[in-house]
Amino acid sequence: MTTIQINHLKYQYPTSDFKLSIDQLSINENLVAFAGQNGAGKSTLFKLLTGLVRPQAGEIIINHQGLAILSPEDRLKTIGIVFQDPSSQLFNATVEKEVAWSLLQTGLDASVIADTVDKALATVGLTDLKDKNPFDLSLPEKKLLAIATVLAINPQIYLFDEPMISLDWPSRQLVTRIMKQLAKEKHQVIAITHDMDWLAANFSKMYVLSDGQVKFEGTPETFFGLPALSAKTGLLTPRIMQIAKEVFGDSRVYLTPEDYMKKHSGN
Amino acid sequence: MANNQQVSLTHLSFTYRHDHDAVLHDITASAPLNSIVGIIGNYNAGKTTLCRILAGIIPNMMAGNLQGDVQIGALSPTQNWSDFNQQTGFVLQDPSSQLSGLADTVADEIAFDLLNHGVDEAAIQQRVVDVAAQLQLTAQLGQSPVSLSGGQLQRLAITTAIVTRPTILLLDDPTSEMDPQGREAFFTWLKTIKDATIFIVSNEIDDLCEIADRLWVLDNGELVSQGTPAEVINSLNSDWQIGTPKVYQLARLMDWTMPDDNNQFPVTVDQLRRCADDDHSNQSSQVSISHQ
Amino acid sequence: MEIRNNSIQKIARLHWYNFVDPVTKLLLALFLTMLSFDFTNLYFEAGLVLCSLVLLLLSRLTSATINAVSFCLFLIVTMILIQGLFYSKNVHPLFSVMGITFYLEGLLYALTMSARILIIIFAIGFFMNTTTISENAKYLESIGMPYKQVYLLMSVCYILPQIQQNMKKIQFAERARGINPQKTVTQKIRSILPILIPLIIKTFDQSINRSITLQLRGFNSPERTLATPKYCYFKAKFSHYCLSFATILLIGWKLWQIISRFL
Repeated sequence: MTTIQINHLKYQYPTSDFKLSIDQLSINENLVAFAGQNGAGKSTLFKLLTGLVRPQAGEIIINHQGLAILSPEDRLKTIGIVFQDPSSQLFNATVEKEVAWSLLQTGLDASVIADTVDKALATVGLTDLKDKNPFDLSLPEKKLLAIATVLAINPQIYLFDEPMISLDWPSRQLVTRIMKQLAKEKHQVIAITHDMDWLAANFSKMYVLSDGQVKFEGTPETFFGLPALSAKTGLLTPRIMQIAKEVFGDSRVYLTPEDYMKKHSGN
Repeated sequence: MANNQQVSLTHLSFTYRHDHDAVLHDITASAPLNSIVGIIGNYNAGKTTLCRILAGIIPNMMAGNLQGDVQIGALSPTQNWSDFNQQTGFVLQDPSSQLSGLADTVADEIAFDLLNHGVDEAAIQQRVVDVAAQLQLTAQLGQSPVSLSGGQLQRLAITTAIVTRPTILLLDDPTSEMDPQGREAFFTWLKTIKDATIFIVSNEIDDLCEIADRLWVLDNGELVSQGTPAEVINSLNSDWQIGTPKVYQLARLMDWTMPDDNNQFPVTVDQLRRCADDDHSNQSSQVSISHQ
Repeated sequence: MEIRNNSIQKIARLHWYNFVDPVTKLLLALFLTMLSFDFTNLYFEAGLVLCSLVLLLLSRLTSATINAVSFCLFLIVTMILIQGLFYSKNVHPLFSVMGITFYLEGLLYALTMSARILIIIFAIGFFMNTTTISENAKYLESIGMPYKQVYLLMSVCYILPQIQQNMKKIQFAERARGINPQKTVTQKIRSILPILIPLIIKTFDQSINRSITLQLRGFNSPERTLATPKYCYFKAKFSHYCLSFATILLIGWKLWQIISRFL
């Protein structure tokens, strides 16, 4: 079981007024979502978690070890990230080389690498495209490839920045399935998302960021029951709640259409 | 065939040069002029290629084997492209590659289209300010386009497309990088546009059903379904792997059918309200009982 | 005209270099470069370096220029070392360290070359720092160049910054995915080599996309309203004639120097 513990974390960009400041935060669950408006600090938090930027104050502790003192190789095996824009993560000549690239950084044996690459590509369903140039793939395929590059390393913690963006319906199902499977295999899966329908349907633990601070920690069920808070943090409610409110004037919490049915077939 | 009040695609097929397989197969579709046509389907279904043909990028700038005919009112993108292009606004999938790269400010970027259309400087000012306000870019007018966020860039791309007051608007996944509020505002705004034929490719099936007059469904380069959103969503084939709107999912689970057709489920909030008003008052009463 | 064109000038004060038009600046750069090639006197070269450096310092210094200059300084140091040790006309030893002799001729030769490089870098840097893409484009269009050609010229000029930008993105991704922070030069080169082709494809693709949208946006339509230059320039025509004349004279003289060697 992985735990991330954040203590007195402070980060400010040199060129803007934006400040991220998290006093105490521990993430223990396997499947966690971070929500918040643009500029709330979600991506900054991810950059801090991957060590791409260093905090000005405070520390991030992963399994009782400081992130700052991890060797680059250990960090790579501890935490992996899938960016929102997959194009910014891909730069090799073929799909296969793209996945192998990360593994080469860890200095693995060639035959092990080949096997791992095949497995990662099979998981995301890109085996047939392995000789293609990543640049020629469609957006969902690029995103799946970006996911495969992280799957190949198989870090303890997976970070997904807006995983549902630029996916079509079947790939949304696939990525959701992969994320749940990883969580089941005792990985920690943390996603940033705007998509409240997806969040409500698939997560049982969420954090809400606003103005660089954590404003909520708990279940979606609780959060969406606090309309003042969701308005203040600039988040919408799931579509099913909007429908219930608009059509029936019913402002109770519903996470999915199925949830609505369950709550209405009690007797 | 040449009906001036119609959008009509007749036996449209297309293969890219250096490619063996056709991307679009024998597409025949129609829609009334000045309506909103939503184009749905998964990646590799041919949506972007269809947009390119509708904009005249194919065959005027990209080569390949194009067969069939496209007619949008009196205009055709394949035959008299320069006349057609004067009337068209286009938003690409990747908004950043749509910028001219020659403008220091957002205002200059928007004005670029007006200059190209020969609008004089005095009128440009007012029109730039007007469209920027419509898409909430007023505060950004003096900023450099490269400093914008993804969602703002998309709104800028839309602004540059509509500033010339086109009668045909082509939008290829215009909200992919917007946040939910931005997306909501965009679809609400799109619904208010009059006197333009709008083609929009989007994965936001909920929003699309609310605003579109017609839906065209593409699967593997074929047009597999077309009609009103309610008709199309109610006859989806699971092989096409297309999501359904939440209203429809809810109505199916609760078995709330349309008052005028018991085989169809609603796809928009308004339709659902009619179902609820009509003969489902018993369900509503059940609602209040079950939660006491 | 409040929102467009003038908004930037309202915020930022106009500088002297805003009154010099882009073509004059380019011609000035060419003129300085030719001067440095025509005269080989080292004091004169030093004077020219100083002149162009003052030009650069009077404009806005950007980090890009500082990077370019520091890269050039690195090149210059290597050049001075190599020429000082191995220049073919080396005769007079300057000093010896541990049996390795450093020669005067090589040093002088390298210094002349360095001066020329610095003059070019400083003068071009001055041009790049003080004009924006849109200013150049507007000016060229206003003096009668067809917009299509203006655009082509500008895209060629700015393809390097674009590649650089893509490069930065890729290197950021490498950092996110990789483990070696690429400290040494060989590591840097090794990390760049495999991504060169995707980099070029990406940049090329962006250019194609851009050219398609520009056509869709009607950039070469005959009705296009002619752009008005961004600033009022000081005696643009006059400076063009003077500088062109002087530069042509210098080129002629240089050619004569070369030809006369064979006579």
